[in-house]
Amino acid sequence: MIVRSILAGIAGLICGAALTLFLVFGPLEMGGIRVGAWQTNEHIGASEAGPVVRALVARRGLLALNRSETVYFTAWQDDDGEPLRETCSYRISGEDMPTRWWSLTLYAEDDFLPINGDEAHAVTRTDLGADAWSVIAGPALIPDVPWLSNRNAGHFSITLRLYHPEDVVRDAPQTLNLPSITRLSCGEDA
Amino acid sequence: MMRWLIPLLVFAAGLVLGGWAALNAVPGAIMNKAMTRIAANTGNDGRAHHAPRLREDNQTIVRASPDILYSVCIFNVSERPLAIEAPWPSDGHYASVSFYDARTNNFAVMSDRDAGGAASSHILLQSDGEAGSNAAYDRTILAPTTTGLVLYRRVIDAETDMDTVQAERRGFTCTELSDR
Repeated sequence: MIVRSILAGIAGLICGAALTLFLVFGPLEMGGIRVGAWQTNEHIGASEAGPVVRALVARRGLLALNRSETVYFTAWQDDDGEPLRETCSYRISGEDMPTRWWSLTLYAEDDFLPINGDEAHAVTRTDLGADAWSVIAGPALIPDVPWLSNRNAGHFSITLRLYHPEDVVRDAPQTLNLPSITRLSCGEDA
Repeated sequence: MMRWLIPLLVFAAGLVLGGWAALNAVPGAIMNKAMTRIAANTGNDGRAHHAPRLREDNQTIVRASPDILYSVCIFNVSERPLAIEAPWPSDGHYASVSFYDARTNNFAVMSDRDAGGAASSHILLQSDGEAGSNAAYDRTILAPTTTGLVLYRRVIDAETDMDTVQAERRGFTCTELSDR
């Protein structure tokens, strides 16, 4: 029975480590606070983050800043809860936000900028102004409309960075009026 | 029944232990990989490397921002402190110097706002066991691990004069004190 127990212990260690690595590098998501289509986790960049958040941040957002400097919101879904897809077009619309400066960046399924040659990965407060604004995230440019290209992005995501946010962003993110993400149309594979 | 119960309990304990160990090892392993990759471009001497503007064909770190210019130095303060010079943008944009330990913790940050209008800041980074602040520096920071990264971020946008910005950010330097 001793040999059997030792073998069981070794098998347990290996299975536990393998299962954890599968979850961290696979389906496990960061969780946190949801505001419309957007999600944030108050422990991103924080020293007191637990091991799960720390591991997920290391994988999906290495070298993130703490919340006094920047608050990150990421959307993997549209306003209807449907995953963001490269074959669909979306209207992202909003207004100015309570922060010094902000930007929207589109990332492909692998968490890198999509490789598509369009050079349309991000828009900022400087581009869109302090009033109401809208952007199209889609596979093709529409003239005179700010554009984020989702070509070759798979199930993509959009990250909103708020630099030097006002206190309300950290203290009551649920009250924020963050941009809406409306699905306009989808292509063949939708 | 005991013949299987005890091995089953040992298996369950191993499962939890293995999972916990892997979970705690992931950040350090990813950070180590990132530092190795950066050191391959910059050398491992603590000096600053000014990365080119992020494009889709030169990405090395997940979820980096194309609206930020990044400069980085890898530190090892086990024997020598690191002196950091951080220039702040003349166009009023956001810039910061953030410090990450070997387990990915962002243990300190200083931004242009903290500098109170100064054109630049002098920062001393030393190991946790060293003496306290040094009056020759605007700020003294103690690193919880002897190795890690210092990352300088500088916002750019459509209105940014890139020649000016590139010249400015080259003022971000990291110097091991014995080099002086």
